[in-house]
Amino acid sequence: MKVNCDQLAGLLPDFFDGDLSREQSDAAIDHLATCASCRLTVDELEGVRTLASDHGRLELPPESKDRIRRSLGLS
Amino acid sequence: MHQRSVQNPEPDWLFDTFADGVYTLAYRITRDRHLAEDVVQETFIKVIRSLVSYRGDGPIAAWIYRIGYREAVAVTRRRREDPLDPVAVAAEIDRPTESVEEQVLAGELVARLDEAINSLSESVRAAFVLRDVEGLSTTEVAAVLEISASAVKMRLARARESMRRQLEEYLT
Repeated sequence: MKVNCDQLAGLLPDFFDGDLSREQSDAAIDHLATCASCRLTVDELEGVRTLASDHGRLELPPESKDRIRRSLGLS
Repeated sequence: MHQRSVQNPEPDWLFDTFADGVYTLAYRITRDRHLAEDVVQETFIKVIRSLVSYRGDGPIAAWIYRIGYREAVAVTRRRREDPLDPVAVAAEIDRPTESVEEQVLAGELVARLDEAINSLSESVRAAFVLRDVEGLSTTEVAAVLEISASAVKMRLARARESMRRQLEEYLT
């Protein structure tokens, strides 16, 4: 099995979830080995996921957390 | 990242484990810190009241985030029907780095990341935040949003591509 750039783009959600079949995964890896443009895209998409997990999360301000805890009757 | 299922979870443990995650989701949906705090409170009132019906036979994260998501969407809808003072809302949205935590983290990157997340449509944003920020599995995101896993993947593809284009200069 071989994939082109458009077909690879369609596989990417499953690629990131590790849900590709062995055959699809091998085809994606083979394509990435020879296509610098798709490799850059995949690297950037990985970068988006890293940025989101490293900096996208918020924390409740401590005073709000305490207030809500009290309102819920928690210790 | 999260416990998949838990037998007889204690309310304290649930709050400690999921409050920040529900707050993150609620803020990303409502784009208003005060409303997001209200969503957290209402979510955990419902979670604690419904604990008897949770039998530990499903992913607990999906159950809690689903309650939080519904609450955040409802609050956002109500706000659209009865809009707040537009100046106050704009101030809230335009300056999401006012908390102490974000003053420390504040920088161009975080501001641009916020901007890029906010630019996504609500449904796409919810999938992205649950999967790539909160770290739920695709199956759990599907359960929270009550859509198919393939629909989640389509929304994620759209979100990540949009984010990639907007944040390109920070990714290479």
